[in-house]
Amino acid sequence: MELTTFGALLRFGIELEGRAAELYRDWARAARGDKTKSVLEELARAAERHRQRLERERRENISEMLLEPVHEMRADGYRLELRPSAEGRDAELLELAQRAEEVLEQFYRDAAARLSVPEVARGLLKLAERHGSHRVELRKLEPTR
Amino acid sequence: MDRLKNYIGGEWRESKSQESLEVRNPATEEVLAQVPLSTDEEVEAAIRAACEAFPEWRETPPTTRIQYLFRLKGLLEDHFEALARTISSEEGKTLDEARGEMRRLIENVEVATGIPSLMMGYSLEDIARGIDEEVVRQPLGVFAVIPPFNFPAMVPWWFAPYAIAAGNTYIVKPSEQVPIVQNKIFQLVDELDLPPGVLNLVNGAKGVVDHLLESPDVVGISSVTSTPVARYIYRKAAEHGKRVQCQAGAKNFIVVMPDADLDRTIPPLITSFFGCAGERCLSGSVLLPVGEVYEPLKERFTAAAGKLKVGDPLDETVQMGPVISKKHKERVLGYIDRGLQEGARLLLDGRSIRVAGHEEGYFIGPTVFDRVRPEMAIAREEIFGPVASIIRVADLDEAIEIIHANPYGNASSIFTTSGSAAREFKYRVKCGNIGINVGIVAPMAFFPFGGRKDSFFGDLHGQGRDAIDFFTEKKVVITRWW
Repeated sequence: MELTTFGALLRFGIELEGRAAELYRDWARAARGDKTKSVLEELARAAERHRQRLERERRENISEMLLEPVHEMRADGYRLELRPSAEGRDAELLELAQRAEEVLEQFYRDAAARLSVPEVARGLLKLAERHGSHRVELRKLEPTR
Repeated sequence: MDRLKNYIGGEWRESKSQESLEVRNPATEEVLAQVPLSTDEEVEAAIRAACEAFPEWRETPPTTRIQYLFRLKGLLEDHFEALARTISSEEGKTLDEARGEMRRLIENVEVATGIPSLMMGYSLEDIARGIDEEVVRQPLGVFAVIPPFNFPAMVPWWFAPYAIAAGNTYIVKPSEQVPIVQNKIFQLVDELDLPPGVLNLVNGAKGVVDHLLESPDVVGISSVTSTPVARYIYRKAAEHGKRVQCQAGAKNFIVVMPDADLDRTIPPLITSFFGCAGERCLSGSVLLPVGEVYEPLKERFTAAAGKLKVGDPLDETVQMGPVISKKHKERVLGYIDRGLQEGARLLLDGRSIRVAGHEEGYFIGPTVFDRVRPEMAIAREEIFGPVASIIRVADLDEAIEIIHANPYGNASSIFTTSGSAAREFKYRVKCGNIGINVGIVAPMAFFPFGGRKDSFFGDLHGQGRDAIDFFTEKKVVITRWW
């Protein structure tokens, strides 16, 4: 799907965060160690906060004068189709979480570059930074086994 | 099928009128509601309610009056998405455009909350020995608004927040083509617990307008309509001794200088000409490339227009929705035919566009004419559709000559990297709203919405300080005490 408008981009971000929250909650339930569980639960809460922030951006920072078509941005490259194996060890869950954060980070960087509303672009870059720092934190974690 | 109700004296009332019109979704032709053409008695009831509410409301301290607006802002934010979707469904603009409209509505409510400062008067001691003079601003009574179809949520709220914040009472007659969103906004108004009669809504068409214009109890009228209707309202309101401000039609010219940065110019041009399917009084209509920029601009502009995704405005990826009605579609198609008959060359033809699954929708694709001459109908008259006309000009003087030869004077823009050209354009062009590297010159709520020549009738514009002047009367008090 091509993301051709300001609203399409933000809506996709909102859906992506919703999907991330859902995945993190599922994985938290499947995690065996308390630490992994709590990390994933916190990521789910962060994704919910991001979703709300995007809804606010869409509502408050829309400007008729700057509504321009968005080009060369497709949703296909940013799907969160991540499934743990049947075994689903904590290390694997954390690895998947890193990949999810990477997808989100990349989406926000690419989306920010295509938006003509600077405030929103800045907000998206902030989200990219947050997902980037989550990814770094996840990499540092020694999973509880 | 919902038959819309009137909101009079703080309550919802069924209209007793036998006459009503269908409100259709322009993307699907589905009937969304029935709008009654309210009777004279119902309009009179709204005027009575507003009159009765006025004395108590004007004595309500401004700091109390604005609390209702703060609450309204909160409710509008809470229902933002639902209202935006309603706008898209009944008017046909895209969701992003509908959100933009909602934002501007809320912005006007926010600005009007500053009324305790905005409506202050001024004074001077000792204008003669021991004598002081002051000016106070006072509300006048009952005002009403006659809005257009193209911004069904926002336009009534270009005026209403200032009117009631200043202590007046108000009547909204929504456009009969798109009354649903205003009806929903008034459901939020109902939650404010305003004193009954401060804000009223009466559905209808010309009959309601005439009653409001003729009533001695309505002190002022704001309207946004086509130019012939604006002339009618202006004349009739003036005959009946009212304050009146009428924003009218437009034909907006956009000049592109040879030094313009085309990478940055094309996207705002596309938004200007084809945003809201060209149904915006600030839409670009005639493109005036100066000199050698003509060829590259023509090619890039036409290519970008051809890429726009046209379809159901509720689909978030759609970039341009339908026009408002079957009748209006025929009118716009008629202009395209006239352009061809008068010898213009069609570079991009939007007439035969088909939107899968929406075969009944009133869609017209982006249309671009080249080799247009200033005397052609497509270059002179307001089309109010997604039709762009290109007239090549030799220099800025010729561009300004063409702009000035047109009877309208709503908006005009220049795209350039030259400060000198921009300054000259800004200084000389006789339009109410000027854009420098901006394609849609939409004044923010704290600035007046301009318009000159046949684009505006009256002296005080909507929004900004003009709104405060329009909705208040200055009274001079000269005082001496012994």
